[in-house]
Amino acid sequence: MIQQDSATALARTVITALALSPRSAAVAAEGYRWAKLLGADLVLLHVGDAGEETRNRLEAIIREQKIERARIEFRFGKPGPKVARAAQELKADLVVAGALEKEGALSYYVGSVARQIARQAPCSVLLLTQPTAQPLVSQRWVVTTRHDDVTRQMLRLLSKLAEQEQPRRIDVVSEYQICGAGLALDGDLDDRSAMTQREGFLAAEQERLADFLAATAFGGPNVHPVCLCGRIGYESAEYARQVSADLLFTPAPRRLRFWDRFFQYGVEYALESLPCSLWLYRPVRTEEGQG
Amino acid sequence: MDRLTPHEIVVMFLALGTLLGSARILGELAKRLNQPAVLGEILAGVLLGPTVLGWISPEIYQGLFPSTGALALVLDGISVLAITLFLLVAGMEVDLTTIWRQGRVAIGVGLSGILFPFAIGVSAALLFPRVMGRDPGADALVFSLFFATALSISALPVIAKTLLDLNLFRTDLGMVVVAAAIFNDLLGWIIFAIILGLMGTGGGEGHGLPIAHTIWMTLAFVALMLTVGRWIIHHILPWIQAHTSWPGGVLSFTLTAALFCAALTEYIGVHAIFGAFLFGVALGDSSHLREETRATIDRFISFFFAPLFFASIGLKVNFVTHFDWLLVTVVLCIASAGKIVGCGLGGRWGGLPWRESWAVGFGMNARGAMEIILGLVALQVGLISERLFVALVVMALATSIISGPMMQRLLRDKKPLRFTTYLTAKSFVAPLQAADRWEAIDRLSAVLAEAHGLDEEVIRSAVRVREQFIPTGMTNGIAVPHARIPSLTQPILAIGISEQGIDFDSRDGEPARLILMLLTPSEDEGAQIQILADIARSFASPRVVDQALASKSYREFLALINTAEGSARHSTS
Repeated sequence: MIQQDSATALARTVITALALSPRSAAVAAEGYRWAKLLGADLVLLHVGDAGEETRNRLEAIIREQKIERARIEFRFGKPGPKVARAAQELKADLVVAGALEKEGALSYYVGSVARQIARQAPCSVLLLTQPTAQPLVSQRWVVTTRHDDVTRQMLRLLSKLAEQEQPRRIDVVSEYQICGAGLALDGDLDDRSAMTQREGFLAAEQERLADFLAATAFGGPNVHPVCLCGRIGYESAEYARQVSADLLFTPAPRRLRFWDRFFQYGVEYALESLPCSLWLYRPVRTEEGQG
Repeated sequence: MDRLTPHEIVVMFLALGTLLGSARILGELAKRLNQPAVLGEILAGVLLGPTVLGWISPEIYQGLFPSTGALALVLDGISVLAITLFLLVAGMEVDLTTIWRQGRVAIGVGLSGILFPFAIGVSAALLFPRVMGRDPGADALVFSLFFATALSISALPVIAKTLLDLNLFRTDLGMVVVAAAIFNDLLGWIIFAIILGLMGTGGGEGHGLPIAHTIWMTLAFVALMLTVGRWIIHHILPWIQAHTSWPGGVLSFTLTAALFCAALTEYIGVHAIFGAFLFGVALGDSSHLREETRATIDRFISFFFAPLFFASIGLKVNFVTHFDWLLVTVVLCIASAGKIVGCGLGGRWGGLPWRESWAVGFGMNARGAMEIILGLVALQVGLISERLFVALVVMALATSIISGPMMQRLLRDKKPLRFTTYLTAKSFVAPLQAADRWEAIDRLSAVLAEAHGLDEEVIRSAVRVREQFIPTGMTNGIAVPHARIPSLTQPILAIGISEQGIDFDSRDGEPARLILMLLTPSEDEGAQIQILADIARSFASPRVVDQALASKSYREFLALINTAEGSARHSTS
């Protein structure tokens, strides 16, 4: 049964965008799994021809993957913007789509379908790098924090998801930058005081992260705070790659524009080259404000 | 082929060794006195140059640092190389994304920190050309533009160092100042390059490019470097790091490309330093540039080229004969007034309180090395007189020296938060009965919840989660479990005194006997930091802790803290 008690549901509608490529069955299976976890309705969305053959193929996927109570929707036009638009019309909380880990340098700026969805959808987007028809239970999550309200809401959702998924380890990453201090630290200060300064920055950030998590009541034996010095967005993506994370959660701005790619920042680093599956979190603007 | 004679080589190495050695020694001395190293380095040059050594013993001075001939050329070449590389490093510190992200305040401060002094500079130079040290032959417009740029530039390294010293670097205020300074630098150097282009002297007689060409080529170079150049460097760096020896490959790439860019801008007709600076900006912006690479280049330049260059300034100019009191005072006053007022208003416009806005103004007022390089280039191309150059150097040093103390004074006067303000008789628990820290947290949570009508479970879980990540046991038998709570409007505090002591996993291994549980509003990051610091300060001495533990009641405890504070103040004054 898909629909949980509506009081406990974490989301209402999950859209799974299917291009009808060889990976579509796997993407649909993953979408179904997350919809069940969130207690949401599942919409399988295809942008393109709505003929008999397409419908049959989609229904075949539903049967093969034993997906219950899913709705099929069609849209026409450019896939990226159309999926984003559909997410708005259907008041979706999450769009699930398959994505390539890396795109050509030019298509990064122009945007492939998956990247366009990620940048334009008004809700959360989950990009799957390696969807499988028999979804494995997630093992290691990396979570990026921005010390703001959006992150707080994301952590609230995550703690509920973690209760059901029981990931082996959740690394909560806080990134901090000390740009502009290079010359002063390396040229002007002696090594010892430069080191003390850097350690001081790290300790302060650790304190800040611990406080933030405590204020959000996000904790548990599998939660590990990690503080990284460097570029915001880049460091957490690299960290997720290094520890072979299964899923990277990150709060995202409402809309990502060309300037965010030009002056690369935050989630754009992860989008440039996906370290693993990526969950871009955006709170849903409803009366209850749940996401 | 011309070559140096063995005698000239001997003199060259002696001269370089003397310069480097004395610059480093005086630079270290300046640092001991908590002043920027550049102050000592320039002083070394003044001592070795015409001002002191040339006056005491002209023969030795002329023998060591001849003003004409092959040796003079060698020293000049090294000096050009030094500033070019210095600007490369300065460019690498420019992070475009930071400016973009810091938003309104930073851009406001950066922009008004340029426009305000610029307007004052242009008007002053146009209205009172003589007072401002303009030579009769100099072009009025170009001179005024240069003078205005000289007033509006600021020096990121000095500003960053000041913020680090004052422990302000990672604060919101610090980030604003840094981003504004970065923006200011970038804009300042672009304007300066255009002025050099306007002079039409840059490329020299050999190239003879028309001024219009110089200007559009400069602008095209800026635009290309900040777009396509950035993109190419960002995509080429991973390849270099993967396929060449580390760190040699990246270092060679950096220096080679910087020198080519320097040659290009010198050819266009703006100074070589500009090419290196912009290459630095494009390189520093790439996320693939590793911290170690940056640090290696920083050091190589800070400890060899920078001292050589700053000391060599003193060799070029006599600082006594060209010292003009009136000019120095005027330059210092209008430079400081323009910058402080400009940045102060910018900060205020961005929403900072007045006091902090002025602090930002004083922070941005530091000119440091950047001003001196700018002045020297202008002197070399004949744009300014030696009198004005000396005034600019003095202004650069003076503004750098006063910026730290002034910021400190402006920010220190803010009333510090005292932990005792938030203590009530109801939340004083003596004795506190608890077997372990979790039980102690539960007990104090209950006390605070009752005293302030809050949800006990919310407090307990927040403090427990916080404790689980980083234990809050401090030294001297103190523990400060704490958390930030969303619903609070002001900080609250409970104190428990445990006779047997509770293990809070402190660094010195001592059990905690005095437990202070602090809750602050989740939005107010500053309050928590300040109160924690106040607690640490108040209980720094084991004697105070012992007396506090002996206090039987809330009143006794409060009296003790107040007298301990009074006597501590008495003993330090």
